[in-house]
Amino acid sequence: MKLLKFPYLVQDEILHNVGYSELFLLSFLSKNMSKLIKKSQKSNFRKMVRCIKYDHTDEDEHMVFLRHKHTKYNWDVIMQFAKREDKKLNFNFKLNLFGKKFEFGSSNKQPSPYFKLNVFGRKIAFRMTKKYGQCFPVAHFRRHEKKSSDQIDSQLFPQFLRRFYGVSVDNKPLSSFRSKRSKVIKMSMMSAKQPLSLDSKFYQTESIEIEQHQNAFATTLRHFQGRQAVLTCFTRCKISDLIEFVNRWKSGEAYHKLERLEVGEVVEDQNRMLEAIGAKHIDPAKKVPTHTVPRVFNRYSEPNTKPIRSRAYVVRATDNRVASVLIEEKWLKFGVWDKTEDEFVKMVE
Amino acid sequence: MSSTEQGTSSAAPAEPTTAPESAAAPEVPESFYYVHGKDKVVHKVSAGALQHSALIHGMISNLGYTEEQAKANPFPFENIDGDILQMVVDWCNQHKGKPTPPEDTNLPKQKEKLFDLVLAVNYLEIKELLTYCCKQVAMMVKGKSPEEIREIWMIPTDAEDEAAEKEAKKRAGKEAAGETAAAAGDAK
Repeated sequence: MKLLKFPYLVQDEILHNVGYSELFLLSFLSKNMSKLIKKSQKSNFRKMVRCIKYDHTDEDEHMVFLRHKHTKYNWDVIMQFAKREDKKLNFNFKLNLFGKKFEFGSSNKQPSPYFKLNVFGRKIAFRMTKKYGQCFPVAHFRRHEKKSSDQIDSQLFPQFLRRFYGVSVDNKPLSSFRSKRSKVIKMSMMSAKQPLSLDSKFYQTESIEIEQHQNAFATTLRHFQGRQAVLTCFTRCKISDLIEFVNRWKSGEAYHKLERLEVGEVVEDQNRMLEAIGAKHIDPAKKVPTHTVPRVFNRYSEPNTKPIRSRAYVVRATDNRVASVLIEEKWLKFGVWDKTEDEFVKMVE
Repeated sequence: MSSTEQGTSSAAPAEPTTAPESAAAPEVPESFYYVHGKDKVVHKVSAGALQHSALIHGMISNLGYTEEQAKANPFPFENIDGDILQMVVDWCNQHKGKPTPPEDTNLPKQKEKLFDLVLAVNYLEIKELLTYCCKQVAMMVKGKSPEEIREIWMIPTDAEDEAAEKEAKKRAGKEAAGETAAAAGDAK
């Protein structure tokens, strides 16, 4: 079956049914194959792909995901960058139970063999893997190759997309957020324990969803200047950081543009926390106000943020504006109203 | 009384009952056409089944052949193997007048057969079947390494492509030289 001998319409139809992981691999096979993918896929990408996501949750395993426009929640794994195992681990063992020999083990399957691809003049070892019900290539690096792994990681897939689909994708190293202000950033920074530089435009991003270590989390919470944020701390949030955040908002010292903030995980009694931030309460006889605002980052085709329904609120000293406060399922939710306290109270009557 | 029995009794002279419209309308006899492939084995196919093929549908739509004429003039598809044409005809018959399902699991698993089917279906312009075939061809490389994909789809390396290109140029050069020599001979 010589694919390159098929009529173009057939080749095009076949390639439209091939996953992005396979297209990525195919592009390395030959110049002619690469030309064909480029010709066939250029208009396809913008029509089909909603977004690309880079997940750096694990220091040793970085993932590249893609979501199609027609799917709402599913992410396709395109490829992964992982640490190369030097030794083959064997968990298999035999036990004699009731006079019969049973074989136990993690898996009897041999991992697929490595293959090398020439990536920017460097031979990179890949291996196919099957996880999450999907097959995809994993680029393997030894620990001492970590630096070049990061370099390839940040260049490889964007280069592929640029070359074959004419699409630019930002997968900049964190330091380069200094130069340009983005509207939306969604990322996980498990591997980065240090906070971003305070000069970074990252803090001015209108909407961020980020997972960070405690230290970096506290800095992001303190310096965020955008409108909407979901900040996840890998360990528990320090209550002092949260109290400081609310107090700075109340005094009008910071967070002037803030519309909505969610932080977790908060392991603190709601009443104690509300007391600590000096929250006021709406009379239980009155209806509970529901705070929601249009999303900057329309994540799941939901135009508005998830509602915050709370009787607790705080008031900003400088303009008397109100923010609803809710602690629910280990998350602190903070929604700023476009209303003064008088207007807010009238609204719930 | 079963419906069959009722049908039988209604055949006897009696008060005419309201018959379904389709039964009342004179049935248009289905027309048939004949096709053959490389092996010259002739297949009788209804016009309804052949509607799947845009190529054949275009050919027959204005012919107005009688049964005898159609039988005497089968459509020759010399570029399609007999067994492949049989598969196409079977598929067209199975899906005659039916909405096509989202997947078709009856396609050949052997890659050479699938390859021939793709080419035949593309030639005959059977859009739905082409879509199924292309999906199947695409599925062949799912989860495969580049070298496995190269083997399945027979993708030459750059070196092989270059060698083939050189060879083609050489051949074209020779042919051109041959033509020039022949033209010179004719001029003499």
